[in-house]
Amino acid sequence: MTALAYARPDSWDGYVLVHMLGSVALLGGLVVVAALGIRYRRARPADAILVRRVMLFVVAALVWPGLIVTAAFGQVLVEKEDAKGTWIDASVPLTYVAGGVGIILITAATVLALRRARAGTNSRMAAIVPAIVAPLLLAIFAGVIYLMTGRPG
Amino acid sequence: MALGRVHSPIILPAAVTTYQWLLFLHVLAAFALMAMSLTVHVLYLASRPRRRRPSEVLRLLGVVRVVGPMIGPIGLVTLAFGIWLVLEVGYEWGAAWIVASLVLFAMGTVAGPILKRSLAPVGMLAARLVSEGDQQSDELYRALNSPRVLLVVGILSLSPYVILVLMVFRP
Repeated sequence: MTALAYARPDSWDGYVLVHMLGSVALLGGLVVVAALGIRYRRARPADAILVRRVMLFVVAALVWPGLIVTAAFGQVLVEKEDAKGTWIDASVPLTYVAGGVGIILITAATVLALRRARAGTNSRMAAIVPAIVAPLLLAIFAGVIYLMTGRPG
Repeated sequence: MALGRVHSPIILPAAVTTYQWLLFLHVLAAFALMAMSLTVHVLYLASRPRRRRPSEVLRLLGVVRVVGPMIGPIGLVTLAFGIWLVLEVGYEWGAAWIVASLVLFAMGTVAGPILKRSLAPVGMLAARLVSEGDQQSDELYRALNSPRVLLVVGILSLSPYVILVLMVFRP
């Protein structure tokens, strides 16, 4: 239930539901990446192959689609609600930019870490990027949820 | 007066009502709950294929053992702010969507510990198989895919999404 749910017309319910399902995929995927990234930031190459493959699958199947669905349906809701120029409007590009940049970093670092693991070596830098960026993105998205629901001002 | 003119535009945009604070905390906790729940399910699904070696199953379920126990307390926080919201807004306790959500929440609360108890022997079996050579095992595959585990995972997977639909559509 959102502030939007409290006052919006019923015809928007479908858009809100898809927007929230996208958010669950995005945030859930980032928690998986953060949990695996932190737990196995110093994994042996044999373990790292499994962990990085699961992380890449989650990024491809949950995080990227979640970001696109959340931002796209968020944009639709901003236009329906005529919220141009408000915090709500500002949160959509914030989601695109912060989410996009962060997830590109996570994807690139995980691909690099997987390639190194397959070669039998470790890349400390590549392994640690998802462990730092995923929790950072979760904190940013907590701020976006505040803008969506608290609607300061 | 001048001070008031300078400060009022800065303070006013931050004004958030009690309802909005409660909503933010309820939604934040609910997203955390669903994200943790999704994490458990993704790692469980990743550990299920027959080709997984016992050591790989142990690695994946090891993260489940860390994330799983966080779900209960976060669920209680979600429930507490949800109940506070019902009181704040003045929804009727007998409303079908509230009753159904509470029933589904209770089912999830019961199913969580059952899943934990069901996966504990799987972890011990995987540890034993690792010490015996870490070969792929049908016994481990059957334990991970037992009807009981699948039923509990199904309940835990679906109930948060049904609650989300109830929260949005409020039939």
